[in-house]
Amino acid sequence: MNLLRRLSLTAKVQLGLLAGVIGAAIVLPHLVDTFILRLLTLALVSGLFAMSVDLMAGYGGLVTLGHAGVLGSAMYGVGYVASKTDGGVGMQILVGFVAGMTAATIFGLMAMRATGVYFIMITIAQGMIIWGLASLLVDITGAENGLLGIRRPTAIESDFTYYYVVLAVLLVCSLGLFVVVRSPFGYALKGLRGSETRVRMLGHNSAFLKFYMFIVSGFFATIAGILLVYLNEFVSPSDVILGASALPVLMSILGGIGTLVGPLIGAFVIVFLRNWVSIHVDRWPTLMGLIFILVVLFARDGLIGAVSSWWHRRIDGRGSGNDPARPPEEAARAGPQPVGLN
Amino acid sequence: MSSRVRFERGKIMSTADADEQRAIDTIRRDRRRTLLVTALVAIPLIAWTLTQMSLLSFGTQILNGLSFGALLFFLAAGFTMIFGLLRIANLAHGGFYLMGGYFGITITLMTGQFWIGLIAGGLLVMVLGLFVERVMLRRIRGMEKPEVLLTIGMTFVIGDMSLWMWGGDPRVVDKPGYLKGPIQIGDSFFYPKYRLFVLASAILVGAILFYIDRRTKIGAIVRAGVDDRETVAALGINIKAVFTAAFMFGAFIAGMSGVIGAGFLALLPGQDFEILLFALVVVIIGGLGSLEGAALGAAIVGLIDSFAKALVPELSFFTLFAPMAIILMVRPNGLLGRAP
Amino acid sequence: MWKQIRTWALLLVVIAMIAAACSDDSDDAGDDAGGDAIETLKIGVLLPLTGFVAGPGEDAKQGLELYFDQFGDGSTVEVGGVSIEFVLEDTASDPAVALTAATKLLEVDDVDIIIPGILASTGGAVGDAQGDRDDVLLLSPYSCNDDFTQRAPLNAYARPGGWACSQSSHAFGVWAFEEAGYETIATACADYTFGYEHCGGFVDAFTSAGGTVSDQIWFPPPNQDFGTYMTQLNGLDADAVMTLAVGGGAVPFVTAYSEFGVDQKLPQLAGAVTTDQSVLRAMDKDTVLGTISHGHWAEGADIPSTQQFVADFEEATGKIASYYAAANYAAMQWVVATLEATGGEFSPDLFLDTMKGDMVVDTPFGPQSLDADGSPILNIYIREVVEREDGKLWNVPIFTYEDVDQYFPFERDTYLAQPSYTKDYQGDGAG
Repeated sequence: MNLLRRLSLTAKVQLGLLAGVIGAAIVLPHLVDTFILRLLTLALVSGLFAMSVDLMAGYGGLVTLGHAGVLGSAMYGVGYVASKTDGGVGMQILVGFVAGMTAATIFGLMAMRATGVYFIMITIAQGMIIWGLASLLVDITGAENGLLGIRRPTAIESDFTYYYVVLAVLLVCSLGLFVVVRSPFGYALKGLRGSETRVRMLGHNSAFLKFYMFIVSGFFATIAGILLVYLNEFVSPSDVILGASALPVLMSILGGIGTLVGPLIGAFVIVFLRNWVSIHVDRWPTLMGLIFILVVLFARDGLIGAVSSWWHRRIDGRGSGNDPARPPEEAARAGPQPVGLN
Repeated sequence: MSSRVRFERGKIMSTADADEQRAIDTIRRDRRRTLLVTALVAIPLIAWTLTQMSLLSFGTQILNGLSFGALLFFLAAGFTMIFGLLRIANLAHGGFYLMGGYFGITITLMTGQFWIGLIAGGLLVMVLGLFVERVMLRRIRGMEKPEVLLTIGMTFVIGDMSLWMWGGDPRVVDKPGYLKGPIQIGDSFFYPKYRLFVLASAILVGAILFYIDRRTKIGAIVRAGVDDRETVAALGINIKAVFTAAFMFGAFIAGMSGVIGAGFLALLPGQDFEILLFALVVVIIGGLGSLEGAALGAAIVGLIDSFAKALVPELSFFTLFAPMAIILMVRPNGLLGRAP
Repeated sequence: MWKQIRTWALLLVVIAMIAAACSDDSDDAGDDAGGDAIETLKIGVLLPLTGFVAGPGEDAKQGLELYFDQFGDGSTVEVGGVSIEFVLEDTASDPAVALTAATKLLEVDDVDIIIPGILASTGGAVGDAQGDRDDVLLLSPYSCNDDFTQRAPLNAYARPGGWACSQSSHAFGVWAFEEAGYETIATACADYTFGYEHCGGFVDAFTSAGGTVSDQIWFPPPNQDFGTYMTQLNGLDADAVMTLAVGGGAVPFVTAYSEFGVDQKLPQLAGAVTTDQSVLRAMDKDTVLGTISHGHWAEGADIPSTQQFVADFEEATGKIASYYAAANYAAMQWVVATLEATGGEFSPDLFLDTMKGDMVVDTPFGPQSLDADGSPILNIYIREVVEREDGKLWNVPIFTYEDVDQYFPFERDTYLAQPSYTKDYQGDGAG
């Protein structure tokens, strides 16, 4: 209770919201049909993936457009064992995990020295190379037909159970990410976003820092991949194309980059646009594009940023003063920031 | 602010000069080394290639690579121009290409004139470019991630509107009669006239752009703007107008290259992202923001594409990205790019 | 810090407990026992309406709508007291999106029949997801993977209105050797499963008949610059080239084939979709006129059912019908004919048995029946691109093989003993 009293109003509201959202997440499956349930599960998995990208793009300031390569490697790892061998669930997850982490390690080694837009480009190349391998290695990946015959473990077979599994994993991972971004490593990452030179002067090896960033982010992307392949029970090269890598970045920016919660919200918006709104609106890509544009023009810090600045205006209006829970970097980011790509 | 900059500049001029000289020397040494390494890699590769194919095939493949590279140059020139000045990675570039191409095809069909279609396709995209820069991009100047979201959003809108207006069938432009079919040399050698036309016009446009860049006042302003925007603004030049003009010009070339490209690649949904990838790879390999870089990158990508498909067909899925990854690992700022 | 973590961990345990309590709910599975009389028959149609296959997707959609306009009120067709409805969903040319949409069709719309999209990958993914359900029938007029009706049959699956990927090219291989008299042929085909099967069918039949295949060039399927491959083809020594370029790649491929002068040395024997109407519309007359190709669809075939459909489709849309348009229409004809034959009863098994029986349906493709494995027996046309009186291009048959099954010219058992066609296995004679 001591803890609660020390919290600011904003933090209390945030905690309350969090509890509300988690409560809703637990109750919601009872209220919706199987299709919406599947979309909710997909949004949670996409949200986890987007959070792993947010760790790099939002905290490290290094936008990756190849992270579906990590996600996809994990998916293919699970899929290969499930579809082409008689390995059990343990083996599937193990191989998926090793495949995802291997990809993350190699990606990290390749990109650790790059910066800015060149970093983006090298990650695009990484993603497309995984796509090339997926299309080329027919015996392992089934090329464009993908891997068939992947099944969820029997214990979590039903869509209903699987939703709760995903939700639980997501919450654990969120907690993990929450700890990571508040660790010294997380602060060093934020330093990377501000100025790589400064980080180097402070005695950090910025290349190694980026490498660790790949490993940590890759770990969460790998978990998202394992969850996704059991959700779809299918994997094909379209899971690793550039578009699949761009989606989590778009989700992050849309929801509010560098906030971890933002990407999750962005994931819900985009998943429902692509799969639910598209049922009712033929021209859904136009609608999605317009939403991107409008968010940029009228809520440039993303949806989370819009809500939080609205909240702070209210608070300030009532004279509650500054919010100690809000780190200064985040406050500074609300204004225009003069960053070039190099 | 601006006066202080000038004052400081004046005071430490001599040191700055020395610094600059040293920087230029470093760049020169760097370039010489790159050239040497390139030659060391290229010569044995060419020798090996010649053992794999006849001299005629070799020559034709070079022509193939260069004429495809010519299209890539058109793509990359607009992109690199916008990036160099505005520091915006315009991810709607592929969308601009698609839109210009579709309008060009329709206008060519309506007027029966390829050239009108070509120019009109470019102009319409230029108008769109004016709108995008003035109304949208200007409000988020310098904010990298909103720019990504905005330009990708534009691509979605353009792509989907094109699908709505023109349908999903592949479309190509109706070339004028004198650019159709092959040129025949001797009994057995044929080469498409249109590819030679694209190659020739890329060289011509490239030469004009280089001339403007190097010999005119506009070029001087643009080059100065690439190096140091603040100083250019301080010199009393309306940098905002320069930005808008540069963006419109980049959009114009993108739209025009859509019409040119529709002469040997089909336009269809999704092509926007493929084209964007091509543009990105070319400017990255060459080095961002420089016209020479775009030309060099286009030639390299075109040649690698054409030879790799012939020599190592099993790797044809990688011809675009593997070279880029390798080049970026060796030279993190592209072949002609400067360190940030 | 640790306090925070403890709070979180506590929260998590609570959630896990609640989740465990909630998770006992099971799905309500609607089980159709064999041959129930029904009031409505719902068909879920997955089509790529956006993305890179949007062109064929649009044609397919229009073919479907044409059928419902002609024989019903646009959204339902009444057959002997049963009303047939369709639910159309966009796959965005992406198997993962198709899978999600298939969930909606199965769980929310509770459809009886699914048409699983155009791309082979989508067909396979949806087929796999539908997996062991016995209350849904999968009808695929598009995705043609040989093994879905051969060595690895899908559950509750048939291809009325469709084809097997190597079916028409088998006949083409026989024709090339026996009728056209070519002895040495090279191939240039798209480097993916459809390419392996389509090209493999040709190579297998052609070499079995006595011909020789000199070279095989494979290129990535997408729309791209084909210059390199044309230069390679120009250097080959053969009588003709069997080609397969698909979708958006077909137009630049055929254009380049003519502009590099390859056609002046090596006649092009094109794959079934390389000059399909869906891409032929975009092609230049000078580059493609006279090209020989093959397929189970020939919009210029002088058959009443074909010409009737082509005329109706053109009146409705202004376009000459592509195979994609005809296939969906034919699939609807099959469904209606089968429902009439069963007297308004439906179950997947009953439908499959009825279709594979002695039914013959007069489709736009010509008369069709299904073999015991669920794949059509139909006409295969050797076609030539010809200019119609109004200046539009279309494919007109120059030779017809009637009643071709998916094994022709081989026997079923010997054929099934062979491996599936891959890049490395193109028939026993290919060497």
